[in-house]
Amino acid sequence: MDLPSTRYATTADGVHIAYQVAGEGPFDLVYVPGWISNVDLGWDLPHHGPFLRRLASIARLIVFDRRGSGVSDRPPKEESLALEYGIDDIRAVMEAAGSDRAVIFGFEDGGILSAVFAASYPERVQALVLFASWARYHWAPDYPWGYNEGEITEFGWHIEREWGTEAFWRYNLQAVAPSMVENDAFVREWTRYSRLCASPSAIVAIERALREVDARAVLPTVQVPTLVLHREDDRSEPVDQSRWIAGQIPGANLLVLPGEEHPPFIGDSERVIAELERFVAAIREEESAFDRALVTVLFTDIVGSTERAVSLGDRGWHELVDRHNATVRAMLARYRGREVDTAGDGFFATFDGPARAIRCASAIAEAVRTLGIEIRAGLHTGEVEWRGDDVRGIAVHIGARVGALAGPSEVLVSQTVKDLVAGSGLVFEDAGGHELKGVPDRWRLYRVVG
Amino acid sequence: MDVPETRYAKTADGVHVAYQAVGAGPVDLVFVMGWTTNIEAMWEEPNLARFSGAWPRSPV
Repeated sequence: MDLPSTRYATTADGVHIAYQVAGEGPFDLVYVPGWISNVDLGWDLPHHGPFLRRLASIARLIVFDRRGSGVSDRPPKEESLALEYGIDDIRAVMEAAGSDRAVIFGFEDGGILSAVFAASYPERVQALVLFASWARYHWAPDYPWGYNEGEITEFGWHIEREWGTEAFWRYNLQAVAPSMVENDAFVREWTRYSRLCASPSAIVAIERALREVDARAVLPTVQVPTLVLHREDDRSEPVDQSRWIAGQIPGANLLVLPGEEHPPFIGDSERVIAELERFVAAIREEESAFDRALVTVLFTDIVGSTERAVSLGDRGWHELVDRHNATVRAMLARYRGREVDTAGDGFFATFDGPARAIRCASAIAEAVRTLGIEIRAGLHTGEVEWRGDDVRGIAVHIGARVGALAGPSEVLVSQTVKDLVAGSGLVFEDAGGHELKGVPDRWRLYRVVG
Repeated sequence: MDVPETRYAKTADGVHVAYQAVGAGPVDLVFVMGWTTNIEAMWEEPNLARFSGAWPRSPV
């Protein structure tokens, strides 16, 4: 894969955020990194680079450096490193990348940022995936997983004295990725990467901003489908935090993965990809079902239209069609039908009630006779898929085929429609079994007689 | 030649300045580069790397 080109999005407060778009998968995926990143170098980093490539193989991946890190701006005021400003980094990047809606995958404090973003802009978030996240930095009686003062001081000491050296990562990796502590090449690469993510003062400012984070109140307001992932033996951030977070977000799914590595890209990263893919597939399946509905479809068209057009001439025929259309539309309005399409002299409409649809068809057939023309009409009820104002589905084909079989001033319906309107007072006559072109099975049709 | 190790010096006004020292020649040579630089990445740029690496002992 070629390395994607780096571009800049600008936030509302004027901070330039570096981002990249990679891959062409069926959904947009925004990867929100932890405290530091560098989009230009992340692709070459062992474990991290291959993980990004895998994400780009299943989705249209959007990566960025959060304000203060990597090749994004250091905001002029340190206060604007605060978490609430960070959500605008995601918004600006999605807008610049042309993404209206995406799955947001957030790692560690990137997860908190993602959750706050999802709570603020639910319409932009298809699903939220949190990996090894936490909700509050400091220990509190009701948040026992936070760091106590001693731990914060110790971590601060390592950052101030050792940032940019291998010593820092040999210390930090003991908790974050124990399997990597003795891996000299990894430590060397990671040390260099971290220098290119943040300078010594920049990392102090980033860590200071993290200390203020307490996003607990936001979690119950997250309304998007959420998957919470955490490795069971993570020594850096205890898994119980994710258990708690999953309990706070309504309907969130928790999945505890085996292993001790804190980052998703170290250890069994394939499992992470698989769970992400599975979750997103289920969400997309569920969403496509939202757009399915049971409707009654009505197809009408003018009988002998070609002959009438020839005998009336273009102008006379167009006038007649206009009057016919006006009549059909008046009846659709009266019987609460929804016009989907008009092709030449035919109409395709949907109804949410089959009896009303039949009465509308009969009323149209009756009304257009005063214009000296006759229509044929066919109805069927079935599940269809709405795509904006368009309707698709096998039920549409069946309705069209039933309509084509009707004679002049005849309203034909499928067995399904007849069964649904039992007790409505409508009277039917058997119109025999028929093959419907392109549709399996034989279909028994009924003629409306009163 | 291996890429030299990056260290930080601190100025009187508290700014961290990244530097590297490379070579073992008889004189110290400080290379003050132009308006934009990145001492980590410059070793990957062939012309700049050849130029910098050819010097006696050059903190950059």
